[in-house]
Amino acid sequence: MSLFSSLQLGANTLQVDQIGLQVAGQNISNANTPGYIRERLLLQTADPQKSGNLILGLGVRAQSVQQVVDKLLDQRLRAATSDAANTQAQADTYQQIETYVGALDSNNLNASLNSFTASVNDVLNQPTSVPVRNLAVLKGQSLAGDINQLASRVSDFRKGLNDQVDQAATQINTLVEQIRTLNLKITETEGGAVGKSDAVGLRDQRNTALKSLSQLIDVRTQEQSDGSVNVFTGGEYLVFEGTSRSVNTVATQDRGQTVDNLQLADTKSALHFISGSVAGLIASRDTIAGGFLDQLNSFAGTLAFNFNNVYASGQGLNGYTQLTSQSSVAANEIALDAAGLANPPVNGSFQIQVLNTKTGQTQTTNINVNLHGLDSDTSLNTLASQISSVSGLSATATSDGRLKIQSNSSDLQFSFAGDTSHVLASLGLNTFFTGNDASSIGINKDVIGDPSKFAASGGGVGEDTQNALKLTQFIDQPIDSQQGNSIGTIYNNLVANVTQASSVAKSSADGNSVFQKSLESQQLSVQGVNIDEETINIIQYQRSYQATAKFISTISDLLDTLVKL
Amino acid sequence: MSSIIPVSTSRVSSLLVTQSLLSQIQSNESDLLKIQNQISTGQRISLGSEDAPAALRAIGLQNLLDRKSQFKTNLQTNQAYLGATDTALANASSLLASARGVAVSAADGTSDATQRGAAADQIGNALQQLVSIGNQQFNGRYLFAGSKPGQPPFELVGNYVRYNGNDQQLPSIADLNNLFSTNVTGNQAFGAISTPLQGSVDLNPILTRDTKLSTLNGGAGIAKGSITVTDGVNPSVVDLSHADTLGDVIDAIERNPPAGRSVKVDLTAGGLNVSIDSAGGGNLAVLEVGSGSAARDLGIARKTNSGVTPIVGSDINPQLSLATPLSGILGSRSSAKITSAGANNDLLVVAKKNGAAYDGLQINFVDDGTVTAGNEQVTYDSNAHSVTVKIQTGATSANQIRTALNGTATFAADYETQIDAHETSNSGNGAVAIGPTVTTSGGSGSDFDQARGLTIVNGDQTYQIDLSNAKTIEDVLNTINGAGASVLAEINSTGNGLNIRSRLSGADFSIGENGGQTASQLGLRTFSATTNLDDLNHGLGVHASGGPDFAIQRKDNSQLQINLSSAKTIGDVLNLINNDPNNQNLSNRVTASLNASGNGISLSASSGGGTNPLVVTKIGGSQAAEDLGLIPVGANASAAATIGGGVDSINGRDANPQEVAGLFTSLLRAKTAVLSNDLPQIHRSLSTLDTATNSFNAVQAELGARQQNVDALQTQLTNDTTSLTDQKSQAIDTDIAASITDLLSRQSALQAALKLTAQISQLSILNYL
Repeated sequence: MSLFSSLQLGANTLQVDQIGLQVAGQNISNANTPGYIRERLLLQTADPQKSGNLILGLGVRAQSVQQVVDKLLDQRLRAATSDAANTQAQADTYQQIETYVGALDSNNLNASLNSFTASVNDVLNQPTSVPVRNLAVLKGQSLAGDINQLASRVSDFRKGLNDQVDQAATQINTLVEQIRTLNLKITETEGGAVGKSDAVGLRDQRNTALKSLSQLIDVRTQEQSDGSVNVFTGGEYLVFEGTSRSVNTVATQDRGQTVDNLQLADTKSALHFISGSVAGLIASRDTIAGGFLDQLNSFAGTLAFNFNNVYASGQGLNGYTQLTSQSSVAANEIALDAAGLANPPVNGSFQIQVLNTKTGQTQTTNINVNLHGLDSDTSLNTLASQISSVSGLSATATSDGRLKIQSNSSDLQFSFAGDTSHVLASLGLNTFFTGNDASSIGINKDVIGDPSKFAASGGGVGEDTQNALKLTQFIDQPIDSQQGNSIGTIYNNLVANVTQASSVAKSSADGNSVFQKSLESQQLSVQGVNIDEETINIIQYQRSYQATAKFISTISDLLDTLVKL
Repeated sequence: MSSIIPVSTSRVSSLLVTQSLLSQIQSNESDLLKIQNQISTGQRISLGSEDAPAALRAIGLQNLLDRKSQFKTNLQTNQAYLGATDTALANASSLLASARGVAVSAADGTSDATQRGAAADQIGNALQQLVSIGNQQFNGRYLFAGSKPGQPPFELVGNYVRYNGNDQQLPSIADLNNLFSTNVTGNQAFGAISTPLQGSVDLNPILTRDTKLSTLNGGAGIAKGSITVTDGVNPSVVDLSHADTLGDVIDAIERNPPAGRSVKVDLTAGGLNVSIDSAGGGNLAVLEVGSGSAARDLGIARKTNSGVTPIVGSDINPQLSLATPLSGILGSRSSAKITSAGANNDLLVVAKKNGAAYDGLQINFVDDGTVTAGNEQVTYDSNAHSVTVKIQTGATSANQIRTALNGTATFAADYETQIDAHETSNSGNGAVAIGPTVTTSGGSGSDFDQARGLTIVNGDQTYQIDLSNAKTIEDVLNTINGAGASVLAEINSTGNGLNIRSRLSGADFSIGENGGQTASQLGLRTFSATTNLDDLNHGLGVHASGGPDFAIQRKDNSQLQINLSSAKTIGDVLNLINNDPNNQNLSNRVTASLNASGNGISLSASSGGGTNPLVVTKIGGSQAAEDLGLIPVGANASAAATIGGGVDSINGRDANPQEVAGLFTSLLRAKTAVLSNDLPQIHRSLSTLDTATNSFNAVQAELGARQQNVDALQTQLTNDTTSLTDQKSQAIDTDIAASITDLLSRQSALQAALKLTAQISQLSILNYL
């Protein structure tokens, strides 16, 4: 032991105090840096020296600068972030669809439906007025237009969701690459040894990148002993030591739209995410918006076909002199229920009425539609020949699979009644709506061009308003093919589904978000900087520095004394 | 995001403090924004998901409100129509009162020709005004035209008024499941279509494969569903839900027999017969599925253990429809089915005409070894009702028997032989066995006399209706409606007969024969054996004196005196004449019958028996013969029948003209009667005018009641709307008081948070160093 060694001890202490001040300073400067993990200087007593029988301490030694971090908490937070991002994306989608449906607004499908029914009521009130019938046609058009618009909005929204999925692929690749690079740097900087100082800023950056990645997709991480982190999603690794894999999109068709899903670029194996915003976006696109479109399509198809079914057995103020079916069959010679019609007819019959406008007399002919599954089943060809055998009419099955009926004289007008086979609605003869889903529903051009053909009568051309009466009550009539639900109920169910699911998604998103926030606050309380704490640290080191300086000055005095001897 | 981060830690970092303060402020501000939205929009929620149950309730209520608002429009629109109708009827009412006054003043017979002319003119004017009221238009609708309000309903045709409207209502919707009628038809108000004749003929169409299920059971149809056909061991459920016609039902049952069996269904005139192959034994039964009633509705339900005896279905009474063929309305053809074991050899013998006379034909096949296949011999005895065919057993095919029977002219004139439609291919090449004698059955009624047609007299015109080209009921109706006779032909409401009603007010109307049976067969003849004498001459009846009423001077100059006091119907009169003990001598007998053409009673004497003309004369001033139409009005004796080569006859007048009972008829009759000073007719027209006025008043009263009802419904709707709006408001509208209280509390919370932020950020150890 010598004075010089004591001096050395003092020098060591001064150095440690300076490091301590440096660490506190670093912490204070980054007090507001997002993602910053506070550091701590680890001190150790220096190895002692044996001097005779005594073992003397040699002061303090700075062991390492470490980040104060709870790795388990980080893992949990990343999982919670993925969950929150997933449910939030879904809740946002529901909310968007709710906005499109506008159930509580004054302009929604229900209002259009009621307004259309109201216009049919007016036909009841003023049966002779063609303008009133025209209004009913216009209201029908706006109903169909509203359904089209809703469908196209939801489709556009789906496209937007899909674009976000596309962008997510790029983001994932950027983040994965960032993590790989940081891994390399951290390993290099830390030198792979445990207990040495952490590569402070680099680890912060990697943590932030991991958090961003967990916002997009669900990831699992494994920190290696050399300081690098392996990242997995599902059963596949994205980052493994110094290597990484990129993802890309693969396009498929769904509900008439192109949709992209993610896959690993190298093996082309599809990636299925459980949480994260990408999972939320894909669920939004395929299940939520897609499911809504399905329901909307079914609503529109049911509306069109069943309304037509009632409408087709009615007659307008004028009959037809020629008419071509709206829908076409795949082949003219096969049975109508197997001919590829969207709503195939059933066994039954309908009547075709031929009105002679000169004499005012009507000739009614029964047309049987046989669909027993036997050889004699009615095809478009046989239907055409049955109608052709009605005196005054000729019918042909055209080469594009449509039925064309023509009266042989301008004095003869034909109309339809009593269809139990649904063949008229099925083929689109004397129908009001065209199309069979939300994007294709429209109004038959025949009735747009001549609103007097609006089929209000049930007892012959221009005879009464019995059919209009049925049409006004259509909204509330139970529909057999829909388990007895009426079109009004179907629409209400559609709205109720969206509203309730949206409500559930929202509370689930809220819950996840609160959980995430609470974990974040826990994380902040562990790794965040407390300025008061750091200030106290500074004072501590300052005092230690001052005391050490005093010690050195004392040693120096002693040396002086010695020198002066 | 209106949640607050929970603090669950022992250590606090500066960032945590600021972040949690920030999040509190955020949360308060977002709540404030929400409250601001609530107060400014008046809606508690803007998206359904904010309060799903309330939102769904509100959507349902809004839906109801939309409907109710349309119902209100319906009521308002139609109240205007009803109001206009009421005004028109009130105008007509005062018109009627003055016209009646004029007619009454002419009824005492004291007025002179000039006065009567003036009175007739006044009645004529009233009539014209009434027609113009009947043609009143309001907002594009002819008020009294029925369900076709686009054309004026009433038309003056010569001396008559024709109604071109119909008798149907125009309904509108007053509330959910509540329809109301928005019009009064011209017939309801003024009486414009004659009442249909209550015919006794029940047209019961026979069943065909094309008979629609919806027309069965008097139009009640059959319950849609399934039936179970079983042989007692294996049940088979037959789905009839898509069956439209009886043919569909037959095909469905035959295609789905119990496993391993074969079931056949045959149509009879009134029902279905179900039989099962006897070889398999068991108990044939047809059961309902669940609580259905399709089997009962088809008349073939059977539960009992009756072995393989075929089920003979009950009568399932189809209604007439437009498509009903005329061949099947007046009875059925007798038929017999001859079955042999094996395939392709069943024969069906069907009579060529309707009627029970063709029942009981005995059909025998014999094999006496003399004939070979292809040379079958037929012996037909129409008197003994038997036909025998000599065949070669085991070789002669069904088809050869058919050829032989159809080739025998005498037999083919009465019966037609066919191969049974059930045989898989109709070639009938299977060999026929000799079985027991088969007898035809099931014939009824008679054939429809289509060739002669009807005679309709309406007003001054006589129309011959030629039905010879008609095939269906619709053809008949079209032919009659299109004949220009101002009549309305339709299927009656029960669907078992036809109505022909006159649309021409003020005209005499009758339907008679045209030398055949057509009108009687259809139950349309207005003057028939069942016509009551009291109804004759527009209800003035036949005035029998109690003693001998008229005498028929026969060709041998002998008199036959007839006393009508016991007669109630035309048939009684005919019987009184034909069955009179003094009229049984073939040489001088007079036969009474209905006129072969048109209507009226016809008296005819056979040729010979004298040279004097046939004459009917009144006895003791009795009007009976005149009332019966045998003597012209005002005369004492009929014009003498001319002596011709064959039969001498008197064709009486149609004493039972029909008319449209209503205001127009009464006024037109009154006008004519006043002009001609025909006092009985003036009195009659006054009495019919009173009847018509009464029903007119009843319609007016009913209309008033309907208007009141509409008023009440409107009030009801207004109340409903208010209560629905209230409920909806409770569901989703902002409770302003609550919102403002909320606003204040949020405001203080925010203020506190802000103050706290300021204070905490000042708090630092640095201040104390």
